[in-house]
Amino acid sequence: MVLDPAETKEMAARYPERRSLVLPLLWRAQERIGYVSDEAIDEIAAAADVPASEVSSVVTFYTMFRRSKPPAHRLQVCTSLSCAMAGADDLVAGLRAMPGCGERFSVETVECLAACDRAIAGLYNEGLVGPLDLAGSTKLVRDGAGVAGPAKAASDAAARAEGGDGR
Amino acid sequence: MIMRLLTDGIGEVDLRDIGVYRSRGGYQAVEKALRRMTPQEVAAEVNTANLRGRGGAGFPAGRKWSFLPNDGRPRYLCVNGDESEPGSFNNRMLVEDNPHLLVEGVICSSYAIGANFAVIYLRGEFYEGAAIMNRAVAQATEAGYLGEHILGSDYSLHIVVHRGAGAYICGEESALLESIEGKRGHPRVKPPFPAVAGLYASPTVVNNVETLCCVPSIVNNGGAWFAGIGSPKSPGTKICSISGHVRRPGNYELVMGTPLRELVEEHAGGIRDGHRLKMILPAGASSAAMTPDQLDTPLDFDAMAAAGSMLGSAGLIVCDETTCAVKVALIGESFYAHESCGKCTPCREGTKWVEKVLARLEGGQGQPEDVDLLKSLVGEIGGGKCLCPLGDFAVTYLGSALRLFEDEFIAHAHGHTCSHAAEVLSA
Repeated sequence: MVLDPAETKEMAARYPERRSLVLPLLWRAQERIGYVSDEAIDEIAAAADVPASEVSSVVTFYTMFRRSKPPAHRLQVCTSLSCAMAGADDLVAGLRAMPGCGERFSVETVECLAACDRAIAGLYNEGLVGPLDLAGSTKLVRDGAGVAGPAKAASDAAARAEGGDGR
Repeated sequence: MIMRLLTDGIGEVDLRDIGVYRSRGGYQAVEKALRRMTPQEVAAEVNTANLRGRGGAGFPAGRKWSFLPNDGRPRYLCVNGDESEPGSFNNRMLVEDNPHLLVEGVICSSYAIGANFAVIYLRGEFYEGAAIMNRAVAQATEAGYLGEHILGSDYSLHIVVHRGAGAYICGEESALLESIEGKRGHPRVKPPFPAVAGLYASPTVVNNVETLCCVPSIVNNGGAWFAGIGSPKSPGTKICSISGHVRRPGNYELVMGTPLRELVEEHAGGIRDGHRLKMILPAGASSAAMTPDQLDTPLDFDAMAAAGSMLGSAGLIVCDETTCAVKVALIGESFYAHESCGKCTPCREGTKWVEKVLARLEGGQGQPEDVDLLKSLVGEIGGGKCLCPLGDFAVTYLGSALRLFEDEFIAHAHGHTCSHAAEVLSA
């Protein structure tokens, strides 16, 4: 059993219709075991009252759902316009040339993360990171710690600038 | 001109704490609306305010609300927080740094349209935003602003935070509704529009995060007050996200109608040292490029449209002279080819075809006829041939670049890779 039936029941009570449970339960399954298993798909289909084939088709439509377990350290680098202009492609190439890439850690590309003010932006596991450079991201994927430019500080700086008192 | 209506306090205090938010006047709009106003009166103020949709279309929210049929079916409010347009990052700031403003806007708006269930749809990548939003909803419920018989009234409202999972198309309102219903994010055939048959085939309003965040101040101060701010036909403020080759990228909340030049040169600090402006994509990757001679254009819906581009959600990407116009088109097209949901042929096939042609041009393998081919593809894919605007978005910048920077495309088509190509990557 992948899902907790009591939790599923509690989540179902929040929605007017059960089929809305598909995405929240896919997230829940992925949080619990790291990916969406066949067993999870069957459980979700039963809970949301939709065919298992439909749940499968939803899993493959949304890029953030995974059908297999990811590496423990996972860095997704944004390669959309503002980050590309800041050198995202070179950063990805540099990281992918590192020993251990694809085994101990993975480096993937991702579409715009709505963090263009922190270009080059990325997601390290579930945390927004940026601005990324090669040295900072190397440390990140090797040690799982140490980020170039703490996310919150960058956001606060932007907000200060907005008020005019940061200039 | 900066005016902090929605961003007041951000970066200074922790507005995620409901106590802090309330100490600065938070939830007074809910108190006022539920205790002293009828739903119709709230809707009338929003109508008077001429609050236009901040998600990009600029459609008046009050009019959108008025389309709901009065036929006894339940009504729903869905918040579009799927912010995915490359260049836009203002919704993320509101969700992460001012979540109670959104909750308050959702309560006032749901009350106005008679909805007892609202969904805040956030893109899947907003892990932190979803956690913050869930905490805000829990705090507001505990404080009595959500749930049954809010503030002792007859009105009840429940909010669910629903996460997407990595699909640009879910920012399109009918695809967003499909996603909430647990389906693949394919846009629906319209009509019927969501107002008539939206979530669970019931009357539904879909509004953007920033649009709803404007509602509390409209309730507090009146629609006429809001209508008097900024451009007469696009009143209020707009949070402009600016990034790219500027000194101070970030979010700046400006009065509608502020000149583009003021945003770029003053607030964002101008172009990085030693360089000059080449073009601006004012509404992210899907907008027509603007050039330095257009810097005096006022930032509002109508003036930007009159200038041949759009305000959209105001995600401005600024490019200096080292940027290759062909490379920018390729980066954008790869995005759209990846994000096309595959439902409509012109978009599904066209985006990949354009991407292929641009890739060979950019790689120095272009053919002289490629420029004309691209021009014809822009016409074949764009112009409203698909169920949703993604197909149009995919060729809007390209169409403008082919007009403004045709010489660069021609040079590439004759086998010359752009001298800027290396620089755009290492810039």
